[in-house]
Amino acid sequence: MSMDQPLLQVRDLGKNFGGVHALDNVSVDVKAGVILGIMGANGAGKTTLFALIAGNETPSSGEILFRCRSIVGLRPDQICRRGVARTFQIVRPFAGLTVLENVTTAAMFGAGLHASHAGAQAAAAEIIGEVGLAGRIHSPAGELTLSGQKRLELARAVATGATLVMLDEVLAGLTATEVEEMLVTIRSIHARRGLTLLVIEHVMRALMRLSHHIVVLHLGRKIAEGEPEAVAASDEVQRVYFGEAA
Amino acid sequence: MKRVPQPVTRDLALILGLLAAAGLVPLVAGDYWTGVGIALLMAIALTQSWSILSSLSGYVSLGHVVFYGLGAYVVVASWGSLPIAVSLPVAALAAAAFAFVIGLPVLRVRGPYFVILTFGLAELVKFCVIAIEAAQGRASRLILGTPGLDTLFFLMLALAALATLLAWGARVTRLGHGLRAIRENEEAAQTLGVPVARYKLAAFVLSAAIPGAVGGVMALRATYFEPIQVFDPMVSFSMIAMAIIGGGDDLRGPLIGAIVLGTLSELLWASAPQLYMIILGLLLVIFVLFVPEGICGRLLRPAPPMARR
Repeated sequence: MSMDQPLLQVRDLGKNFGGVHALDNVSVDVKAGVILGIMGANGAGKTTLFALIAGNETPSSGEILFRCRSIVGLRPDQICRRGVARTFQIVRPFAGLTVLENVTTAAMFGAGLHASHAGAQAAAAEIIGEVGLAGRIHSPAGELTLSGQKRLELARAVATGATLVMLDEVLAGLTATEVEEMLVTIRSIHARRGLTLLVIEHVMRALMRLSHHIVVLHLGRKIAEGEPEAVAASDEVQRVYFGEAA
Repeated sequence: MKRVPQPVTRDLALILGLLAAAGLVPLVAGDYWTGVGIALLMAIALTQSWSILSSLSGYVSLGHVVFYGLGAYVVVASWGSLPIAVSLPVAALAAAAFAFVIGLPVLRVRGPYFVILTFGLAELVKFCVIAIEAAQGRASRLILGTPGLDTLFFLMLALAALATLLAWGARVTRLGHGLRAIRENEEAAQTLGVPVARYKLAAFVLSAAIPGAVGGVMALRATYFEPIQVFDPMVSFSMIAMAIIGGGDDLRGPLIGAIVLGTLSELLWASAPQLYMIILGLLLVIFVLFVPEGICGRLLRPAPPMARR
């Protein structure tokens, strides 16, 4: 892969559910190492975009290239093996397993970095510490608070060894203090592990602070893209986000 | 890092030790106890096998008797032309091959649909075998010159040990971690890299093999073969009941469930079969409602886990 090629290239991506265009001709390039924020109201197509990239859904049209190779048509586990992971907006912990078992499973499978159980467990324990769940490492995942389960989602996605990690509303439902803590956690993991992050967030101010680059979706289409300040100032975004009066 | 043997591996050593000790039964006790031993060992072999698929992946099979019945059929049909040293492994392979063939379509459905589908499939195969036998002008077969009780005991002992080894292997390898993740949330498991279709199929095939051989041994013990008996759904129900009562996720669970229900059945089945069924039903209701993690999950763990839905 040449250095100047984007890590992820989304080309004219479309997804129809019945007659509804959940996503319509969306193209996005994601450079290695950036934090790319994805903004948009409910129904804008943000989660659909993640589902298409991760292979949970199949595109109706368009192309997705990861490291210059197409990943359209691959199963989610195959895409994960190539280095793409996601969290779920509605958390999906392995509720009956402990935090350590949850993350160890991700480390054992994922991109296939750890052949041995002991190696996977050591890697998992380290990541659990990074997301601030060390004190709950042996608790069943189902007993965590929502904030804890969001951290667990993040830990599992990182533990897969993915280079591209997609975070789907990991700040939603958290208190103001928890949001601040989570931002610190995300930034430090991003820097420490050299990840590329795609971040969906409703908490707009937080997203602006976190992201290097922002893409705005509206009703399945991309309506703006650029630096956070420029995007916030754009007329189109002002109109759909704050209404005509703004 | 210090290497500590995993609890499940200690459990394996303990169970294999108990099975080795059980090997003394035919040497010191009479035919009655040897017969009881065969029944208990059968229960252990079947329930351990069942737990590989159903306890670990959460895909509850209500039709595992189909593998038992097919194994019995293979051994009986080849009786006289194949020695049991060949026909019993063939029975296990046939059961595993059948699981492989039906696995991909069957494992696409989840939850109650999977339960009903496995049950229906077992009944379908039962009536196919009945039809095949009837077409050949047979309702049942007698098999003569079967091995003695002690031989059958040791064969069943070997199958119980093999099933326990497989059940242990499924728990300590990547397969077990993947299957438990599938049980807890299949889509999350797949998104984290677990090849779910392949793993479910592997578990299905592994859980089918030993029941095939067990069916073969039991056909030799019965010395006659009647499809309606070797495909009796009660065999499937017992596996589930024993796993639920013992606690299927734990390697000791199937063993404990098999001993509890096997003993109860031995005490009551001949004298008061209806009372046995009533007690079995009551036990199942009590366990499902109040002790869903089973005896092992409740009593033998250091810290009681959270009650599961």
